[in-house]
Formats: sequence, structure tokens, C-alpha cells
Amino acid sequence: MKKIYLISLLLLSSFICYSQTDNINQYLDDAGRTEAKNIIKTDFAEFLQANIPFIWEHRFTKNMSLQGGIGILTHSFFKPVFTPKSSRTSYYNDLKGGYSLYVQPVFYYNGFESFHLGIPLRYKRHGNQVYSFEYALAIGKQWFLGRHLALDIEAGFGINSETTLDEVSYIYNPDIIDRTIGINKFNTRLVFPVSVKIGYVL
Amino acid sequence: MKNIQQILIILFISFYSTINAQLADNKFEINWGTDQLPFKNGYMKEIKILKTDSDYIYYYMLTQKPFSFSHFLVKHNKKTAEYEWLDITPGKDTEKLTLLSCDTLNNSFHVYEYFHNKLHKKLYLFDESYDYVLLKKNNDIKKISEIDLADKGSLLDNMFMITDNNRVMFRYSCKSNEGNFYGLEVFNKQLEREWGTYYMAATEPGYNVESNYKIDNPGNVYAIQRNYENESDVGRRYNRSRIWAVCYPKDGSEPRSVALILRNDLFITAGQISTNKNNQVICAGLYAKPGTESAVGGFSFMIEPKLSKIISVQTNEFSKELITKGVDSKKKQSDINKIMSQADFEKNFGYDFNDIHFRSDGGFDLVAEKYYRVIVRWDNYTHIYHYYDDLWVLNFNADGSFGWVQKIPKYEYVMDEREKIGGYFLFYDKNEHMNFIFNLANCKPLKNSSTTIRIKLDNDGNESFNELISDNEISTVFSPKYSYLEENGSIVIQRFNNVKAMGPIAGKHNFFTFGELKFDLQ
Repeated sequence: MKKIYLISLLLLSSFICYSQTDNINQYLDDAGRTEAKNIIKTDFAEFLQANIPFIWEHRFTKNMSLQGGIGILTHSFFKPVFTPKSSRTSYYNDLKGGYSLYVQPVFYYNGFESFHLGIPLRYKRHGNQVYSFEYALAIGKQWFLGRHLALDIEAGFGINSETTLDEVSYIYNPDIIDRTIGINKFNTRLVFPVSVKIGYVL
Repeated sequence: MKNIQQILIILFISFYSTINAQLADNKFEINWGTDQLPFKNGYMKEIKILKTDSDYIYYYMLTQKPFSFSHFLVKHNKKTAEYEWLDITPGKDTEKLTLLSCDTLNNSFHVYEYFHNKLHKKLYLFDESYDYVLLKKNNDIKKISEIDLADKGSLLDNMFMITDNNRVMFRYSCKSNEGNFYGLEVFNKQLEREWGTYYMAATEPGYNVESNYKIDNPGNVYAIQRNYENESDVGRRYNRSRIWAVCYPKDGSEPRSVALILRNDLFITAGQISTNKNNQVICAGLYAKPGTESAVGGFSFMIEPKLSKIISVQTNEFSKELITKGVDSKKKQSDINKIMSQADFEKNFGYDFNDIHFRSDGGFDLVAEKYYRVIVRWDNYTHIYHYYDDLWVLNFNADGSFGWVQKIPKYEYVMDEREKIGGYFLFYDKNEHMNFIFNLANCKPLKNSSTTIRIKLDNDGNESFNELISDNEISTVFSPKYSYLEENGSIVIQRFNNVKAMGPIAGKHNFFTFGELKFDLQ
């Protein structure tokens, strides 16, 4: 009898606990929009630089997430969007395809749908021709356009350094903006990366 | 060096003894407890004592970590200095809830949280209460309000809650394509919705900033609105603004407003609003001469309930002696004189009011503290300089006429986390005398001097003082504004160390100490 009483008490208390949290659940239910933790994205701004990235973002806490991605550097896209008239040599035509790596810790103000601050780091490599590193600080904002579509826009500033391996290939046209440090193989410059990412919210 | 600083402070203190022969008329005793380090993760932002009894201090604490705040209820044993605590930070069960406000109501500690449900296009407001004596959650979270954001395509712009007169008021504004709209909701002490309105009181064209909310006994809401010609004028063209008293009637009818205008274009530089036991509205504060902002007089308006009719307007021009009181003594100290000689030093100040305090004879008191802060970048860091300055004390009779006016000269020029040692603590003793506890402090890089004093104003405004803490090491960490008057007349006081560090070591060395201050010892 005592056992039955104890079991009844336990069941009753668990029912009460459930009721207490349940009484606001109907207001918190937004079909998983706030609870979303993963987004698959691509960055259309990178398309202009011949990079087709595939990015996965995972949110660890309400305020912190990590984006990581790989990209295909295509040969056919390699025409500079803006070419100054003073440019003497085009380094772009001979670049072969390659790959890019991308990682960015992101700090959100209040969950996925809010302002954020990030530190995007990019690595690009064209076979044995040239590779570059880019380090930046960027601010942006992400919107959910419905339950599964995300728009993430950010802009920032940083430094890009590239190293030519064959001494003739460059990713960036050195006639546009360039500052040489040390030997000619290593170039570093200020960059102002902009990204326009569209994502699918899982 | 420290001796020289102390001598300079003593020079200023001697100012009080020269103007009043009633020096140190009260014996007092201070006993400090054991240093506390309750939370080793996060910088202490605020401590608010909720209640004390013979054995315990019950308090609320807010700590800050990068990108987040934590909230705790703590039960501190006075005798053993041991403590228990309860983490009340929202998000333990669901990260969806965001804390909006927290305060005591009806002998419980209430945490108000919200969630903007973008699927429902609604903002939901929740209340969750805690027993701060037993340190337990009451498991009573419930929705107390919801705001429909769909029909107007609105974005939440601003929202806050205040607790006053055993009621809670929720105020919010939204931006939409059709313009701004405003809402106000009032709840009783059981957090049941009493009434609400979607009005913003119409005063005059331009941009209105509303503040100083007060709820009267029937449940009407009063506030002060300052009207600017344009939104860009806010905080910049202050002396071209105008001040209004506004009322949101409980019956939901259109709000009412009364322009607070004084004769001869005297400019109301700051004001406070309240209601007396007859529900008459009182607006009182300080005025300046036209085109200026520095107070040269005080005023009061007595108005019928719901602002239906102005009963009386009173003004009192301060004497030159009162306006200049203490200035020479401050300027004798070269450090303080240097600060006071800065361009626009006087012009930068605003006035912060306490709540209007009603005495047993029906009269009332109002205290204004001169204060401003400035944010500067220096040595690759951002620093905030706080300038807490003189107090104006206005004493009124029950009909709104002036009883007396007094000025308490002081300076608390501090920076960054030493902001905690600025400001003042006011308590009324059993004779309804006003007692002010504050530091005379000048704490900046390479300067670190402070003395803690108490000024008492009797029922006629006559002043006397005690030097409470002369030890520079203690006074420079003594925080007057977190003090708490116990029912037995003792005062719980606090001192903090001033270590501020973020990252992994945040809060590791952030201790504080409770103490007890007793006056009128036989």
C-alpha cells in the first residue's frame, strides 16, 4: 500500500512539474525557428571572386556559433570584376581552379535572428600557383525569411596575404592595391570583405 | 602624497564645521564583516538588498560576463558570513525567454521575461516568481500579456517595466510603416491585467520623451514628457525643450496633459512627479534662467487628480549665498579646481531626482543630485568619467509651498568601475530628519582619495555632520548608494574592491564586504 502511495505521489509530482512548464509552451512554440541550431549556406559575394562555397553553421549557445566551409575555386570565373586601365598584365587568365577553406566564429547578439560580430578566416589555393590567407573582423545581421530560409549580410575589414608559388600567378591584381613586404613572393593588403549568404535552416 | 590628499579633504570638511556649530552630534559605530566572493565567474554589476532580519541579508545580485548577464538571489548569514544562492537567470529551461526586468512585489521576487514569437507575430510577456527567503522557485511561470505585432507590420522599438505602488506597469513602443505606436499596460499585485491603452499623450508637435512614471492609488499612470522640436534635438538642444505632466486614466479614456510653464519664461531644467494621499498630482523640481540650464530656483505645481485643474504654482529663487555655497572650499583644492575649471564643466551637468518623499505631516521632500558622465578614449582604452556633484534639497509643505531649501556641497569625481563609490544614500531617522551618506572622492589614475561623511538635515533644514570613514583605503571602496536601512534603525553598508577583468579571470577577485552602521549610540 505504501509503495502504491509513493508511486502515486511520484506520478502526481511529475504531472505537476509537466503542467507547470507546459502552461507557457503554447506561446513558445514557433515551429522550431528559435531552436534552430544548423544552417547550410552559400555566399553569393564569393561568387564574384570565382569561389563557390558550401558553408555549414552550427550554433553552440544562444550567442555563439561557428561557421565552417569549403569552396571550389573555378577557372572560368577568373575575370576581375574591375580592371584598372593602368593594369599592364592580367594574371587571372592563367590561374587554374583550386579550393578554398573558410572558418568563422560568430557572436550573435540574441540568437540566430540578430546582429552578429564575426572573425572570418579564409584560405584559398590554386594548385601550385598561388595561395592566400585572409583575416578579418566583420559585423552583420541575419534574418529568417520564413521557417527555412536565412539571409545573412555582413561587412568588415581585414588583411589578405598571398604567396605566389610560381612567381607569375596572383589571385589579386597587384596593380590595383598592393604593398610588398620583404621578398616579392609575399604580398599583403587591406581588404574589406562583404558577404551575402543565403541559407537553408535545418 | 596620500597625507596631502587627506589634508585637502579635511580642508573641505572643515567647511561644514565653519558653517555649523553642531559638529558630530551623533555617536556612531561601524562593524565590517568578512570579505565575500560568492561568484567567481562574472563581474559584479549590482547588489540590491531586498530584506534583512536578525540573522540574514537577502539580496539580488547581477553579474556580467562577455555577451551575457547572470542573476542570483542570495541569502547571507550575518554571523557566519556563509551564504546560499539561487541562480535565477532565464534560459535554464529554454533559451527562448529573455529577462526584461525583475523586482520585488507582494513579498516575492518577480522575474519578467518575454518572447517574440515570429510565427505567431506576437510578443508574449511572462512572470515567474521566487521566494527569496527560502531561495526557491515558486514554479508559477505564466503569461501575463501578449502584444499583437502582425496587423501593423511593427517592429518592437523599446519596452520596460516599472513597479510602483503595489502595481506593475509595462510600457512599450513599436515602429511600423504607419509610424510609431505606443502601448501601456498596468497589472495589480497578483500580476492580473487591470487596464491598458495604446495612447502616447499628445502634448505638442515634435518629439516627446516620457519618463518618471508614477501610479496613483486608483491605478492611473502619470509621467513627465519633455517635448523637443525634432528627434535629433534630444539631449542636444535641451534648453529649447518644454516639459509636460501627462496622465493616462485607468478608464482608458484619452490621456491628459498639462504644460508646466513658469512665469517670466523660467526654464524647467528638471522635474519629478508624484501623487499625494488625496491623489492630487505634485510636480516639483528646479528651474533655470531663460537660455541656461543651471538651477537657480525651485518650483512646485499642485494639480487636481487626473490633471483636471492646476491648484497652485509655487517658485522659490535660491539666494546667491546658497548657489555659491561650498564653491570656494572646493576650489581651494587644486585637483578639484582644475576639474571645475574645464570648459563647459558647469554646463554639462543635469539633475537626477529621487522619488518625492511624503512626510507624516503631509509635506514632502525632493532631492536633486547634479551629475554627468563623459566617455573618453585614453591610452587605447575607453574610460567613463562620472561627476557626482552637489545635492539640492527642497522641502515643501502639504499645500506645495516651500518650507526650506538647502544645498549640500560635495564632489565624487570617479572613473570606470569606481562609479560604485559615487552617489549618495538618503535615509529618514525616527525624527524624520534627512540623513545623507556620501563620499568626498577624487579617484582617477594616480589619484585615489576619499572620505565618507554623513550630513543630517533636521526638520528646519539645519545641518550637522559626522566624518564616518576617514581611512582612505576603506573609503575609496565604500559604496554609499547600495546601503540599506534596517527596521531596527541600523544601516547595512557595503564596500567593494575595484578589480574589473573580463575573460577567464572575470570575477575571480571581485569580493565585497557587508558592514553595519549604527547611529545614536548612548
